[in-house]
Amino acid sequence: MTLSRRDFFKITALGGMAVVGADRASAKTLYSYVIPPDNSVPGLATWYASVCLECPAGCGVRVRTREGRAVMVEGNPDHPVNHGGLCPRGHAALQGLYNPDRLTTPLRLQTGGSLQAINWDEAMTVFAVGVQQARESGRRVAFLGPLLGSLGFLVDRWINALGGGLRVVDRLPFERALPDGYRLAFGQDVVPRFRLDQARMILAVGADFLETWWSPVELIRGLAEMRRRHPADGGFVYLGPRRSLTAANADRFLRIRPGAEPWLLLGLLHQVLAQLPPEQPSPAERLSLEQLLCGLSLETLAGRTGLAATMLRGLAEKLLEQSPTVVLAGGSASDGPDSTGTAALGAVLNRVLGSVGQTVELYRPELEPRTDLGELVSAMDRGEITLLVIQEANPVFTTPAGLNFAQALRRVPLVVNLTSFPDETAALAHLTLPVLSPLERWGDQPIAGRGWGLAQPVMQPVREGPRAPVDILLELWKRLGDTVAEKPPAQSTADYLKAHWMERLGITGDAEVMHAWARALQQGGIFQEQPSLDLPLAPTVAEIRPDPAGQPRGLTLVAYPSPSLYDGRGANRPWLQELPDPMTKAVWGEWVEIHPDTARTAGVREGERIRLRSARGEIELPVIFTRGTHPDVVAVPLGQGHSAFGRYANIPGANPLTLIDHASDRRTGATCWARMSVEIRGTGVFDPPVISAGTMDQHGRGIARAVAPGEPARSPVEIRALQSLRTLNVPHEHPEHRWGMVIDLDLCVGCNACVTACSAENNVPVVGRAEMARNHAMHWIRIERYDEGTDDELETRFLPMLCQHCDQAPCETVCPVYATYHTAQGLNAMVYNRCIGTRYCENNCPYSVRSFNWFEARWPWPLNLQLNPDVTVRSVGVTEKCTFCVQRIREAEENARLAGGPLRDGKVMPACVSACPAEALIFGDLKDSHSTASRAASTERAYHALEHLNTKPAITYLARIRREERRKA
Amino acid sequence: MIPHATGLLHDAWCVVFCCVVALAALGCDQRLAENTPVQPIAFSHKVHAGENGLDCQFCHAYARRSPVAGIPSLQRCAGCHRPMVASKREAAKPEVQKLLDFSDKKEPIPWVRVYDLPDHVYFSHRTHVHAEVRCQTCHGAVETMDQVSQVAPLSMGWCVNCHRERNASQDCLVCHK
Repeated sequence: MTLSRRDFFKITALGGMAVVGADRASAKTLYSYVIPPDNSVPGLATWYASVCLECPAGCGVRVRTREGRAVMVEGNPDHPVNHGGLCPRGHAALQGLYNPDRLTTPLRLQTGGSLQAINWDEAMTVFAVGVQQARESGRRVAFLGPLLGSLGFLVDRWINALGGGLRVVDRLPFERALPDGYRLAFGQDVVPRFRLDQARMILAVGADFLETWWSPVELIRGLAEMRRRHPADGGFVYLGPRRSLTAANADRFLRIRPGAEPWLLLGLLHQVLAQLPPEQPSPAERLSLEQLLCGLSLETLAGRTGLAATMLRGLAEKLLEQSPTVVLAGGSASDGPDSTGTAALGAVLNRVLGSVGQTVELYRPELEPRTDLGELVSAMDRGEITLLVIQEANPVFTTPAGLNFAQALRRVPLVVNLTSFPDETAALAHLTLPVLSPLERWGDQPIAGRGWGLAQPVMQPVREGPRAPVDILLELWKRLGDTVAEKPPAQSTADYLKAHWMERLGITGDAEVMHAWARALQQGGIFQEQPSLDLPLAPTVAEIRPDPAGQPRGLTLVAYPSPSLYDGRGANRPWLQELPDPMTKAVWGEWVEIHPDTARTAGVREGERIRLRSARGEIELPVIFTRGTHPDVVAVPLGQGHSAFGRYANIPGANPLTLIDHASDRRTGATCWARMSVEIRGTGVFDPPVISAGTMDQHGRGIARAVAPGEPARSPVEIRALQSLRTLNVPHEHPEHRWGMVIDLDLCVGCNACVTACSAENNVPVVGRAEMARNHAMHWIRIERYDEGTDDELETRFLPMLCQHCDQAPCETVCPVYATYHTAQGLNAMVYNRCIGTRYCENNCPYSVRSFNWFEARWPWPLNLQLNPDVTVRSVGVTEKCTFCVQRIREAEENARLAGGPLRDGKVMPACVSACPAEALIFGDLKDSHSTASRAASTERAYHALEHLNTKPAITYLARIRREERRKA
Repeated sequence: MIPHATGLLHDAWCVVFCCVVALAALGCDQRLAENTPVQPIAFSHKVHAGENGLDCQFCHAYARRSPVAGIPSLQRCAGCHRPMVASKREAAKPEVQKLLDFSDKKEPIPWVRVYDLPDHVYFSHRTHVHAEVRCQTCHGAVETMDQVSQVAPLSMGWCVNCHRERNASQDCLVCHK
């Protein structure tokens, strides 16, 4: 039997009715408010300013709430750290808040290793008894956690009230090395703030400052500002053992062996000192530096770095020539016993180059970390600790296997873990207490030299049960009653924080306090610019000499924090798991990066699972060939390999820290990761990671372009060819606006912030590993990565690809049901309820930006509470794509109309535009010749992607500027 | 298959299709007529908006500033009714008693929705109120209704007709986002 087209439609019509009928039963009850809230109107957004606590950088955020639930996190434009941008991890804080695996009741470890739910009263009794026992036994109490802001002060007072103990700040080695290095260089506690915007040239040595190091959002913004101010000169040179995202963004990348960093910095110092006039560093400083360099010739130093002496001389010349410069040294790649020394030498070089006070500002830190993690572990091993409180840290997972943290934990009679999620540490803690998410509680975070950020609860807790860490501490304090010397300083977190701040700022009087507090909460902090310290180098710099014997042999392991998952804390957030790694484009998994030559020597194929063996352990992971990795390096991202971190972290992988021994820093004695030699061996099992990108080769299509300074993006021949293009289509008219976007590839660093922001704003579903492997990614925007050249001359270009909203769109002409069409405002519209899922549009789109809903998207409760109510949740069988955040355009238009004025340029901000830390994306009306977007689109560097197809896109790219001729290292 | 049989099958399909269309149309009308749900409290718009002349936005307070008109909070209902019954609570009408019971228990009233749009449609009360579309244009003469019924089909054709008559935008993305 044949089925005619007409019959086919009749049957589909029948099916459609059945579906519509079933849907109508939903949401039939309307509940009235008992008492309406004063600060929110149903249907409209309410914003709260807060602080992001996902990493120590302390960016300010503003959280959009609808009907009392947080739906979007954005950067706070008034915050002195990030000025409105945010990173993917900051956006994904929402999935920490709404994580379906969050703990809701206290858990107690049973003898068999199982966890039993108990009530709060019982849990606090166990906790209080533990504290009393610790005090009676005369042994010590220890507190481990990030301890940000005033919580650190409170823990100090609490420990003092108990009669002493250890306060240990949980930090990764590379987070610790920088402040420690600056202390070493200047002889006192200082924290640096890097003003990349004031610099002309950046020299980064192992510092991945665009992804995880120090304060990425602030530094991306600084780099962008530097590039804007210096379109033709200056530059950014990166030296390191692997081609990280930061290295890929450098104007010049030089590969060096891990361990060569301090020698390289000494070499540069040697040359800079030789070229500076004799009076420039003060006589005292010059004396100690000469002592430091005593007996080291340029050739010796160059020999230890593997670079030519002329190269070092050239770099030093450039540093002096391109002043002001800034040296960023000591990232995760240089972790090892010399990491503090590396950071300190960076500080020395900054001082000698005259950057301190100009591009590097120095401030006093808020509160100094007292005890090192290694000291804590030894005390635990010796049985000196009776009670260990761990707050929102996962040391069992994030410390190297050589430290044996889990084993030391077993020697502590009572371990209390304050956490939001089940994790590896919670699995071993005697008592686990669920804590509120940072978005549900009060908190604060100091900002070097600029004041303090304040965090406030943006909504009622998602679920009953969890409590704020400060509240738990205060409650415990109360229970201890008269047995402790000091009374608890407040009744609740909010009271404590308010009292702490008013006391510090010296504000008294009810009205003044109320006013000052309201203002601080409104702007998201207390912002006060402090003057930068002008400090000379400490005479002890003469001793910062690395150990020549410390150079690793053979293949060296570099375990680096993942740009998406950081040290693993992001692994339970599906957005971050599905976010393609900026360099490898791998999702939902882990891999080993090795140079193809190294692989050839070891007889390993790409995609094969290999065994990595160190003196400490062995893991098995698939291989990705990366031409940017040093041939003597095996690089593995941190973050995967969880055994108890909820459903989304439960994917194949291995924690590279299980291969790493524990060592002591040669300068400070602090615990650090040892440099490990590893052996690799193929297994013959082909099991490649899931890679979301098709190709990293442009095949000569000129999609992502780069030009020399002042050069146009299009050649005269190309312009002539484009002018001769003809079409049979009737041109569209745009009577009022034509929305468009300009993307500056010179500023875009490929950080992925726009991708997560888009997923959050537009309810883009997460499809999971298996579907990603079948190329069923749903992202509306992706960062394409293209490589040009080979090895040391390798040039990587990043290009955000989203719907181009073509004026002559190939997708529109093929839709049989008119589900996609062109609006009068120049948007390529997609009407989901009209779409019948032929996928013709997807097939005809040259930019591959349309995706098809193969399945009904699911958000396990309470993840669904994050969904943006202003955007339709698409159903199975329809195609979707970027809408330029039409809901935001409509809102801005309506606000302008109600205010009785025109829609001003810059009032419409799609989610990707407002997320971009570099402000590389500009959105605006192309009909208005004065709009920022129009002006940017008419510059020399402007071009469209695949414009020879005559699609007339609304998105204009500005070609990347090549500031430096690429030479072989 | 012989041609004649194909023709028969085709005719049969046509009949089925017509029946379905007719049933669907009937279903729509019935739904409209029947959508006069029984509410947890027999609240009368006729008494409030008609006889007492209360403005719609006195209770549906968000209509001018938000896409959502809002249903009045218990606080608003009780704000008028509690002083009215004052000390002689027992003498209050049974429906007012019900209201005060909800208010005493601080429990929201589970009203039954009358007007409902599919999830892929975005309607803004704010825009329509500012465009001076009267509430009655879509909701009918509510001030005469003891029990509220749905008077408009809320079909796309019905929306578009009005947009056409008033020269409002007919772009798909005005309602579908």
